[in-house]
Amino acid sequence: MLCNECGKNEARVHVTQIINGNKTESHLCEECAKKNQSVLNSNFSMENLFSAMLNNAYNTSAYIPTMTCSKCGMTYEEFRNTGKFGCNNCIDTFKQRIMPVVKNIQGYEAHMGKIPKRAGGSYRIQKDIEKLKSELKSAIEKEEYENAARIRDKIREMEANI
Amino acid sequence: MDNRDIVVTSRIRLARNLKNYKFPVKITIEEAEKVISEVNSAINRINLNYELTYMKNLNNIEKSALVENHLISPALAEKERAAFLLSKDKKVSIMLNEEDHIRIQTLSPGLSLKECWDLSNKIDDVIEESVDYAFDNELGYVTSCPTNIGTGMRASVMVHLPALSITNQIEKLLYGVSQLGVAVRGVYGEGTKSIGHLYQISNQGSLGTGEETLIEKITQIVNQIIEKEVKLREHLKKNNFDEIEDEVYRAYGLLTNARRMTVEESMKLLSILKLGKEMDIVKLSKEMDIYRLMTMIQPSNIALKTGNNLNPKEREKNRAEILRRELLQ
Repeated sequence: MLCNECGKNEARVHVTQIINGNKTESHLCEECAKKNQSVLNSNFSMENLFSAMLNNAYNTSAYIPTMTCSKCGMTYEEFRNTGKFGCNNCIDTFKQRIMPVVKNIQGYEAHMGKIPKRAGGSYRIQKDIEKLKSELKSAIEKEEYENAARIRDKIREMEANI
Repeated sequence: MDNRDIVVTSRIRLARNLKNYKFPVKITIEEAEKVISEVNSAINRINLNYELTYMKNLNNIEKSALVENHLISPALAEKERAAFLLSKDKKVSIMLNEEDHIRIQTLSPGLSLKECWDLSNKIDDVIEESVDYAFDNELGYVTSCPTNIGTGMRASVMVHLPALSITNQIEKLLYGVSQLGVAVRGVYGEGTKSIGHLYQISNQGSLGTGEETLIEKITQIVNQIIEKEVKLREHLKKNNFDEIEDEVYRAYGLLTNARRMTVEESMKLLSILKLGKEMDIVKLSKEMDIYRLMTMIQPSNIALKTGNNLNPKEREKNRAEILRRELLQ
Protein backbone atom coordinates (compact mmCIF):
# COMPACT_ATOMS: atom_id res chain seq x y z
CA MET A 1 0.00 0.00 0.00
CA LEU A 2 1.24 3.48 -0.84
CA CYS A 3 1.29 6.41 1.56
CA ASN A 4 -1.97 8.40 1.71
CA GLU A 5 -0.08 11.69 2.00
CA CYS A 6 2.61 11.62 -0.67
CA GLY A 7 1.46 8.62 -2.69
CA LYS A 8 5.08 7.73 -3.41
CA ASN A 9 6.48 5.55 -0.63
CA GLU A 10 5.27 2.34 0.93
CA ALA A 11 2.94 3.03 3.88
CA ARG A 12 4.48 1.74 7.11
CA VAL A 13 2.56 3.64 9.79
CA HIS A 14 -1.11 2.79 10.14
CA VAL A 15 -3.32 4.98 12.26
CA THR A 16 -6.91 4.47 13.30
CA GLN A 17 -8.59 7.44 14.94
CA ILE A 18 -12.00 7.33 16.52
CA ILE A 19 -13.37 10.78 17.27
CA ASN A 20 -16.95 11.03 18.51
CA GLY A 21 -17.65 7.62 17.05
CA ASN A 22 -16.33 8.48 13.59
CA LYS A 23 -13.56 6.15 12.56
CA THR A 24 -10.88 7.35 10.18
CA GLU A 25 -7.90 5.36 9.01
CA SER A 26 -4.71 6.69 7.51
CA HIS A 27 -1.71 4.89 6.12
CA LEU A 28 1.52 6.85 5.95
CA CYS A 29 5.12 6.33 4.97
CA GLU A 30 7.72 6.96 7.70
CA GLU A 31 8.67 10.31 6.25
CA CYS A 32 5.13 11.70 6.18
CA ALA A 33 4.41 10.18 9.59
CA LYS A 34 7.42 11.98 11.04
CA LYS A 35 6.12 15.25 9.64
CA ASN A 36 2.89 14.57 11.46
CA GLN A 37 4.27 14.21 14.98
CA SER A 38 0.87 13.78 16.59
CA VAL A 39 0.45 10.56 14.59
CA LEU A 40 3.72 9.08 15.78
CA ASN A 41 3.25 10.27 19.31
CA SER A 42 2.02 7.16 21.05
CA ASN A 43 1.92 8.98 24.37
CA PHE A 44 -1.81 9.60 24.64
CA SER A 45 -1.58 11.57 27.84
CA MET A 46 -4.46 13.69 29.05
CA GLU A 47 -2.53 16.82 28.12
CA ASN A 48 -2.04 15.76 24.51
CA LEU A 49 -5.61 14.62 24.30
CA PHE A 50 -6.87 17.94 25.59
CA SER A 51 -4.96 19.97 23.05
CA ALA A 52 -6.09 17.63 20.27
CA MET A 53 -9.71 17.94 21.34
CA LEU A 54 -9.50 21.72 21.43
CA ASN A 55 -8.12 21.66 17.92
CA ASN A 56 -10.82 19.34 16.71
CA ALA A 57 -13.58 21.38 18.28
CA TYR A 58 -12.75 24.52 16.34
CA ASN A 59 -10.87 23.46 13.24
CA THR A 60 -14.02 22.52 11.42
CA SER A 61 -15.63 25.96 11.32
CA ALA A 62 -14.32 29.13 9.77
CA TYR A 63 -13.74 30.32 13.29
CA ILE A 64 -10.99 32.92 13.77
CA PRO A 65 -9.62 33.13 17.29
CA THR A 66 -9.04 36.69 18.39
CA MET A 67 -9.29 36.41 22.16
CA THR A 68 -6.27 37.45 24.17
CA CYS A 69 -5.74 37.31 27.92
CA SER A 70 -5.32 40.86 29.20
CA LYS A 71 -2.94 39.84 31.99
CA CYS A 72 -0.37 37.57 30.34
CA GLY A 73 -0.97 38.13 26.62
CA MET A 74 -1.85 34.50 25.90
CA THR A 75 -3.87 34.32 22.67
CA TYR A 76 -6.55 31.73 22.15
CA GLU A 77 -4.52 30.34 19.26
CA GLU A 78 -1.52 29.87 21.54
CA PHE A 79 -3.65 28.28 24.25
CA ARG A 80 -5.19 25.93 21.70
CA ASN A 81 -1.77 24.75 20.61
CA THR A 82 -0.18 24.30 24.02
CA GLY A 83 -3.29 23.41 26.03
CA LYS A 84 -1.86 25.42 28.94
CA PHE A 85 -3.05 28.57 30.70
CA GLY A 86 -0.57 31.44 30.98
CA CYS A 87 -1.97 32.88 34.22
CA ASN A 88 -4.87 32.96 36.64
CA ASN A 89 -6.80 35.34 34.39
CA CYS A 90 -6.70 33.02 31.33
CA ILE A 91 -9.36 30.85 32.88
CA ASP A 92 -11.87 33.73 32.85
CA THR A 93 -10.79 34.80 29.37
CA PHE A 94 -11.24 31.39 27.76
CA LYS A 95 -13.77 29.78 30.11
CA GLN A 96 -16.83 29.88 27.89
CA ARG A 97 -14.97 28.52 24.93
CA ILE A 98 -13.25 25.64 26.69
CA MET A 99 -15.99 24.49 29.06
CA PRO A 100 -17.49 21.93 26.64
CA VAL A 101 -14.07 20.33 26.16
CA VAL A 102 -13.28 20.41 29.89
CA LYS A 103 -16.59 18.73 30.57
CA ASN A 104 -15.91 16.17 27.89
CA ILE A 105 -12.50 15.22 29.16
CA GLN A 106 -13.12 15.49 32.90
CA GLY A 107 -16.68 14.18 32.89
CA TYR A 108 -17.78 16.97 35.23
CA GLU A 109 -18.01 20.76 35.12
CA ALA A 110 -17.89 21.83 38.75
CA HIS A 111 -15.31 21.47 41.49
CA MET A 112 -15.88 19.21 44.46
CA GLY A 113 -13.43 18.86 47.27
CA LYS A 114 -11.00 21.08 49.10
CA ILE A 115 -11.54 24.83 49.13
CA PRO A 116 -8.55 26.88 50.27
CA LYS A 117 -8.99 28.90 53.45
CA ARG A 118 -7.79 32.24 52.13
CA ALA A 119 -8.34 32.04 48.36
CA GLY A 120 -11.74 30.38 48.92
CA GLY A 121 -12.90 33.18 51.24
CA SER A 122 -16.64 33.55 51.63
CA TYR A 123 -17.19 30.82 49.02
CA ARG A 124 -15.80 28.33 51.50
CA ILE A 125 -18.24 29.54 54.16
CA GLN A 126 -21.12 29.34 51.68
CA LYS A 127 -20.18 25.74 50.89
CA ASP A 128 -20.01 24.93 54.60
CA ILE A 129 -23.46 26.46 55.08
CA GLU A 130 -24.82 24.35 52.22
CA LYS A 131 -23.43 21.27 53.90
CA LEU A 132 -24.95 22.24 57.25
CA LYS A 133 -28.32 22.88 55.59
CA SER A 134 -28.42 19.36 54.23
CA GLU A 135 -27.41 18.06 57.66
CA LEU A 136 -30.26 20.14 59.14
CA LYS A 137 -32.72 18.62 56.70
CA SER A 138 -31.71 15.08 57.55
CA ALA A 139 -31.78 15.87 61.30
CA ILE A 140 -35.37 17.09 60.94
CA GLU A 141 -36.31 14.03 58.92
CA LYS A 142 -34.90 11.82 61.64
CA GLU A 143 -36.79 13.94 64.20
CA GLU A 144 -33.58 14.82 66.03
CA TYR A 145 -34.90 18.23 66.97
CA GLU A 146 -32.25 19.16 69.53
CA ASN A 147 -29.51 18.48 67.02
CA ALA A 148 -31.48 20.36 64.34
CA ALA A 149 -31.78 23.42 66.56
CA ARG A 150 -28.05 23.40 67.16
CA ILE A 151 -27.30 23.19 63.45
CA ARG A 152 -29.82 25.98 62.74
CA ASP A 153 -28.09 28.28 65.23
CA LYS A 154 -24.74 27.52 63.70
CA ILE A 155 -26.04 28.36 60.20
CA ARG A 156 -27.44 31.68 61.48
CA GLU A 157 -24.15 32.51 63.08
CA MET A 158 -22.21 31.72 59.92
CA GLU A 159 -24.59 33.66 57.69
CA ALA A 160 -24.20 36.69 59.89
CA ASN A 161 -20.44 36.51 59.38
CA ILE A 162 -20.42 36.62 55.59
CA MET B 1 1.64 -12.02 52.96
CA ASP B 2 1.94 -8.32 53.55
CA ASN B 3 0.20 -5.86 51.22
CA ARG B 4 3.51 -4.08 51.05
CA ASP B 5 4.84 -6.98 49.03
CA ILE B 6 2.51 -6.05 46.20
CA VAL B 7 2.05 -2.32 46.73
CA VAL B 8 5.48 -0.73 46.66
CA THR B 9 4.61 2.92 47.25
CA SER B 10 1.68 5.32 47.33
CA ARG B 11 1.94 8.89 46.15
CA ILE B 12 -0.23 12.01 46.22
CA ARG B 13 0.55 15.02 44.08
CA LEU B 14 -1.21 18.37 44.45
CA ALA B 15 -0.87 21.06 41.78
CA ARG B 16 -1.17 24.67 42.93
CA ASN B 17 -0.49 28.08 41.39
CA LEU B 18 -0.04 31.55 42.77
CA LYS B 19 -2.61 34.10 41.74
CA ASN B 20 -0.27 37.03 41.26
CA TYR B 21 2.39 35.53 39.01
CA LYS B 22 2.17 34.30 35.45
CA PHE B 23 2.12 30.52 35.11
CA PRO B 24 5.27 28.63 34.06
CA VAL B 25 4.59 28.85 30.28
CA LYS B 26 4.59 32.66 30.54
CA ILE B 27 6.62 33.27 33.68
CA THR B 28 9.52 35.75 33.77
CA ILE B 29 12.85 35.00 35.43
CA GLU B 30 12.05 37.45 38.26
CA GLU B 31 8.64 35.91 38.86
CA ALA B 32 10.09 32.38 38.88
CA GLU B 33 12.59 33.52 41.52
CA LYS B 34 9.78 35.04 43.61
CA VAL B 35 7.73 31.84 43.46
CA ILE B 36 10.71 29.89 44.77
CA SER B 37 11.55 32.32 47.56
CA GLU B 38 7.91 32.76 48.68
CA VAL B 39 7.24 29.04 48.95
CA ASN B 40 10.61 28.42 50.54
CA SER B 41 10.00 30.96 53.28
CA ALA B 42 6.41 29.73 53.77
CA ILE B 43 7.74 26.21 54.41
CA ASN B 44 10.69 27.28 56.51
CA ARG B 45 8.53 29.38 58.79
CA ILE B 46 7.05 26.16 60.15
CA ASN B 47 9.47 23.40 59.38
CA LEU B 48 13.21 23.62 58.99
CA ASN B 49 13.71 20.12 57.69
CA TYR B 50 13.43 20.98 54.02
CA GLU B 51 16.35 21.53 51.72
CA LEU B 52 16.01 23.80 48.68
CA THR B 53 17.82 22.78 45.49
CA TYR B 54 17.90 24.74 42.23
CA MET B 55 17.81 22.63 39.08
CA LYS B 56 20.45 24.82 37.47
CA ASN B 57 22.93 23.72 40.15
CA LEU B 58 22.62 20.03 39.32
CA ASN B 59 24.30 18.09 36.52
CA ASN B 60 22.38 15.70 34.28
CA ILE B 61 23.39 12.59 36.21
CA GLU B 62 22.21 14.07 39.50
CA LYS B 63 18.94 15.13 37.91
CA SER B 64 18.15 11.75 36.36
CA ALA B 65 19.11 9.89 39.54
CA LEU B 66 16.50 12.02 41.35
CA VAL B 67 13.98 11.05 38.67
CA GLU B 68 14.89 7.36 38.98
CA ASN B 69 14.30 7.63 42.73
CA HIS B 70 10.90 9.27 42.07
CA LEU B 71 11.86 12.35 44.08
CA ILE B 72 11.29 14.73 41.18
CA SER B 73 9.39 14.44 37.91
CA PRO B 74 11.10 14.09 34.52
CA ALA B 75 9.51 17.43 33.54
CA LEU B 76 11.14 19.24 36.48
CA ALA B 77 14.57 17.91 35.48
CA GLU B 78 14.25 19.71 32.15
CA LYS B 79 13.32 23.12 33.55
CA GLU B 80 16.06 25.71 34.02
CA ARG B 81 14.09 28.00 36.36
CA ALA B 82 12.81 25.19 38.51
CA ALA B 83 13.74 24.15 42.03
CA PHE B 84 12.51 21.72 44.64
CA LEU B 85 12.21 21.47 48.40
CA LEU B 86 12.95 18.03 49.76
CA SER B 87 12.10 16.94 53.30
CA LYS B 88 14.86 15.25 55.31
CA ASP B 89 13.05 11.90 55.33
CA LYS B 90 12.54 12.25 51.53
CA LYS B 91 8.82 11.66 51.92
CA VAL B 92 7.85 15.11 50.68
CA SER B 93 9.11 16.85 47.58
CA ILE B 94 7.72 20.27 46.69
CA MET B 95 8.51 20.97 43.05
CA LEU B 96 8.56 24.61 42.02
CA ASN B 97 8.01 26.03 38.52
CA GLU B 98 7.41 22.67 36.89
CA GLU B 99 4.19 22.72 34.84
CA ASP B 100 2.58 24.52 37.77
CA HIS B 101 4.12 26.90 40.30
CA ILE B 102 3.82 24.33 43.05
CA ARG B 103 3.55 20.57 43.00
CA ILE B 104 3.45 18.96 46.41
CA GLN B 105 4.36 15.29 46.23
CA THR B 106 4.19 12.93 49.17
CA LEU B 107 5.48 9.37 48.98
CA SER B 108 4.95 6.58 51.44
CA PRO B 109 5.44 2.80 51.39
CA GLY B 110 2.56 0.35 50.95
CA LEU B 111 -1.05 1.20 50.22
CA SER B 112 -1.21 4.47 52.14
CA LEU B 113 -2.92 7.09 49.98
CA LYS B 114 -4.90 8.41 52.91
CA GLU B 115 -1.73 9.09 54.93
CA CYS B 116 -0.17 10.77 51.89
CA TRP B 117 -3.25 12.92 51.43
CA ASP B 118 -3.30 13.99 55.10
CA LEU B 119 0.33 15.03 54.86
CA SER B 120 -0.05 16.83 51.51
CA ASN B 121 -3.18 18.55 52.77
CA LYS B 122 -1.31 19.87 55.82
CA ILE B 123 1.62 21.14 53.77
CA ASP B 124 -0.83 22.75 51.36
CA ASP B 125 -2.47 24.61 54.28
CA VAL B 126 0.92 25.74 55.58
CA ILE B 127 1.89 27.18 52.19
CA GLU B 128 -1.48 28.87 51.69
CA GLU B 129 -1.10 30.75 54.95
CA SER B 130 1.47 32.98 53.32
CA VAL B 131 0.74 32.92 49.56
CA ASP B 132 -2.31 33.70 47.41
CA TYR B 133 -3.52 30.64 45.50
CA ALA B 134 -5.25 30.76 42.13
CA PHE B 135 -8.72 29.39 42.82
CA ASP B 136 -11.95 29.54 40.83
CA ASN B 137 -15.24 29.02 42.67
CA GLU B 138 -16.62 26.90 39.85
CA LEU B 139 -13.54 25.05 38.64
CA GLY B 140 -11.50 24.76 41.83
CA TYR B 141 -7.72 25.07 41.90
CA VAL B 142 -6.52 26.65 38.67
CA THR B 143 -3.75 24.63 37.05
CA SER B 144 -1.72 25.29 33.90
CA CYS B 145 -3.33 22.35 32.15
CA PRO B 146 -7.13 22.05 32.30
CA THR B 147 -6.70 18.30 32.77
CA ASN B 148 -5.52 18.92 36.35
CA ILE B 149 -8.07 21.56 37.26
CA GLY B 150 -10.37 21.06 40.25
CA THR B 151 -8.60 19.27 43.06
CA GLY B 152 -5.25 19.42 41.24
CA MET B 153 -4.71 16.00 42.71
CA ARG B 154 -3.16 12.89 41.28
CA ALA B 155 -3.19 9.81 43.47
CA SER B 156 -0.91 7.02 42.29
CA VAL B 157 -0.05 3.59 43.60
CA MET B 158 2.93 1.57 42.41
CA VAL B 159 2.19 -2.14 42.32
CA HIS B 160 4.37 -5.16 41.62
CA LEU B 161 2.40 -7.78 39.71
CA PRO B 162 4.72 -10.62 38.65
CA ALA B 163 2.20 -13.47 38.84
CA LEU B 164 -0.37 -11.63 36.73
CA SER B 165 2.39 -10.65 34.30
CA ILE B 166 4.04 -14.03 33.75
CA THR B 167 0.68 -15.72 33.25
CA ASN B 168 -0.26 -13.12 30.61
CA GLN B 169 -3.31 -11.95 32.48
CA ILE B 170 -2.07 -8.44 33.04
CA GLU B 171 -3.28 -6.90 29.76
CA LYS B 172 -6.82 -8.05 30.39
CA LEU B 173 -6.79 -6.79 33.95
CA LEU B 174 -5.27 -3.43 33.04
CA TYR B 175 -7.82 -2.97 30.27
CA GLY B 176 -10.62 -3.64 32.74
CA VAL B 177 -9.17 -1.20 35.23
CA SER B 178 -8.78 1.52 32.62
CA GLN B 179 -12.54 1.36 32.02
CA LEU B 180 -13.01 2.67 35.56
CA GLY B 181 -11.46 6.08 34.89
CA VAL B 182 -8.07 5.01 36.11
CA ALA B 183 -4.78 5.23 34.21
CA VAL B 184 -2.25 2.40 34.26
CA ARG B 185 1.27 2.55 32.95
CA GLY B 186 4.54 0.70 33.35
CA VAL B 187 6.89 2.36 35.83
CA TYR B 188 10.06 1.52 33.92
CA GLY B 189 9.84 1.01 30.17
CA GLU B 190 7.26 2.27 27.71
CA GLY B 191 3.46 2.15 27.93
CA THR B 192 1.91 -0.91 29.49
CA LYS B 193 5.05 -2.98 28.72
CA SER B 194 6.73 -2.78 32.07
CA ILE B 195 10.15 -4.14 32.87
CA GLY B 196 10.26 -5.48 36.40
CA HIS B 197 6.46 -5.97 36.38
CA LEU B 198 5.95 -2.64 38.16
CA TYR B 199 2.85 -0.65 37.30
CA GLN B 200 1.54 2.74 38.31
CA ILE B 201 -2.20 3.10 38.86
CA SER B 202 -3.59 6.63 39.12
CA ASN B 203 -6.76 8.68 38.74
CA GLN B 204 -7.54 10.26 35.36
CA GLY B 205 -9.89 13.12 36.18
CA SER B 206 -9.44 15.84 38.78
CA LEU B 207 -12.75 17.69 38.56
CA GLY B 208 -16.08 16.91 40.19
CA THR B 209 -14.95 14.34 42.74
CA GLY B 210 -13.64 15.20 46.19
CA GLU B 211 -10.13 14.13 47.21
CA GLU B 212 -11.17 11.59 49.81
CA THR B 213 -13.79 10.00 47.55
CA LEU B 214 -11.20 9.64 44.81
CA ILE B 215 -8.64 8.13 47.19
CA GLU B 216 -11.26 5.70 48.41
CA LYS B 217 -12.00 4.68 44.82
CA ILE B 218 -8.34 4.12 43.86
CA THR B 219 -7.76 2.20 47.11
CA GLN B 220 -10.69 -0.09 46.34
CA ILE B 221 -9.46 -0.77 42.82
CA VAL B 222 -5.93 -1.49 44.06
CA ASN B 223 -7.29 -3.83 46.73
CA GLN B 224 -9.06 -5.80 44.04
CA ILE B 225 -5.86 -6.04 42.01
CA ILE B 226 -3.97 -7.20 45.11
CA GLU B 227 -6.57 -9.89 45.67
CA LYS B 228 -6.19 -11.14 42.08
CA GLU B 229 -2.38 -11.25 42.36
CA VAL B 230 -2.50 -13.05 45.73
CA LYS B 231 -5.01 -15.65 44.50
CA LEU B 232 -2.91 -16.28 41.43
CA ARG B 233 0.23 -16.75 43.53
CA GLU B 234 -1.59 -19.30 45.65
CA HIS B 235 -2.78 -21.06 42.52
CA LEU B 236 0.75 -21.14 41.09
CA LYS B 237 2.15 -22.49 44.32
CA LYS B 238 -0.36 -25.30 44.31
CA ASN B 239 -0.38 -26.22 40.64
CA ASN B 240 2.89 -25.04 39.11
CA PHE B 241 5.30 -25.15 42.01
CA ASP B 242 8.11 -26.91 40.13
CA GLU B 243 8.12 -24.38 37.29
CA ILE B 244 8.00 -21.39 39.63
CA GLU B 245 10.68 -22.80 41.90
CA ASP B 246 12.92 -23.41 38.90
CA GLU B 247 12.36 -19.87 37.56
CA VAL B 248 13.10 -18.32 40.94
CA TYR B 249 16.33 -20.25 41.45
CA ARG B 250 17.45 -19.55 37.89
CA ALA B 251 16.94 -15.84 38.58
CA TYR B 252 18.83 -16.15 41.87
CA GLY B 253 21.63 -18.09 40.16
CA LEU B 254 22.11 -15.49 37.47
CA LEU B 255 21.84 -12.52 39.81
CA THR B 256 24.44 -13.93 42.19
CA ASN B 257 26.86 -15.22 39.54
CA ALA B 258 26.69 -13.15 36.38
CA ARG B 259 29.59 -10.81 35.67
CA ARG B 260 27.69 -8.38 33.47
CA MET B 261 24.08 -7.23 33.73
CA THR B 262 21.89 -4.85 31.73
CA VAL B 263 19.13 -2.90 33.47
CA GLU B 264 16.44 -4.84 31.59
CA GLU B 265 17.80 -8.26 32.54
CA SER B 266 18.38 -7.31 36.18
CA MET B 267 14.89 -5.87 36.50
CA LYS B 268 13.31 -8.98 35.03
CA LEU B 269 15.29 -11.29 37.30
CA LEU B 270 14.84 -9.16 40.42
CA SER B 271 11.11 -9.17 39.84
CA ILE B 272 11.07 -12.99 39.79
CA LEU B 273 13.34 -13.12 42.84
CA LYS B 274 11.01 -10.74 44.68
CA LEU B 275 8.12 -13.07 43.86
CA GLY B 276 10.16 -16.07 45.06
CA LYS B 277 10.99 -14.33 48.33
CA GLU B 278 7.36 -13.40 48.97
CA MET B 279 6.18 -16.93 48.13
CA ASP B 280 8.75 -18.35 50.58
CA ILE B 281 10.47 -20.25 47.78
CA VAL B 282 13.87 -18.72 48.31
CA LYS B 283 15.21 -17.72 51.71
CA LEU B 284 16.61 -14.21 51.73
CA SER B 285 17.30 -12.11 54.79
CA LYS B 286 14.17 -10.41 56.03
CA GLU B 287 15.64 -6.95 55.57
CA MET B 288 16.48 -7.58 51.92
CA ASP B 289 14.57 -4.85 50.06
CA ILE B 290 14.46 -5.90 46.43
CA TYR B 291 12.68 -2.75 45.30
CA ARG B 292 15.60 -0.75 46.73
CA LEU B 293 17.95 -2.93 44.68
CA MET B 294 15.86 -2.23 41.57
CA THR B 295 16.45 1.47 42.13
CA MET B 296 20.14 1.07 42.94
CA ILE B 297 20.93 -0.60 39.61
CA GLN B 298 19.31 2.13 37.45
CA PRO B 299 21.85 3.79 35.13
CA SER B 300 22.05 7.22 36.77
CA ASN B 301 22.15 5.79 40.29
CA ILE B 302 25.21 3.77 39.25
CA ALA B 303 26.76 6.72 37.44
CA LEU B 304 26.26 8.90 40.51
CA LYS B 305 28.09 6.41 42.74
CA THR B 306 30.94 5.77 40.34
CA GLY B 307 31.45 9.38 39.31
CA ASN B 308 30.20 8.81 35.76
CA ASN B 309 33.61 7.55 34.63
CA LEU B 310 32.29 4.24 33.35
CA ASN B 311 31.36 3.36 29.80
CA PRO B 312 28.20 1.25 29.29
CA LYS B 313 30.12 -2.07 29.41
CA GLU B 314 31.91 -1.14 32.61
CA ARG B 315 28.59 -0.06 34.05
CA GLU B 316 27.18 -3.51 33.31
CA LYS B 317 30.10 -5.01 35.20
CA ASN B 318 29.53 -2.65 38.08
CA ARG B 319 25.82 -3.50 38.11
CA ALA B 320 26.60 -7.23 38.37
CA GLU B 321 29.01 -6.49 41.22
CA ILE B 322 26.37 -4.53 43.12
CA LEU B 323 23.86 -7.35 42.70
CA ARG B 324 26.32 -10.01 43.92
CA ARG B 325 27.42 -7.89 46.86
CA GLU B 326 23.88 -7.05 47.96
CA LEU B 327 22.41 -10.51 47.49
CA LEU B 328 25.28 -12.53 48.91
CA GLN B 329 26.02 -10.36 51.93
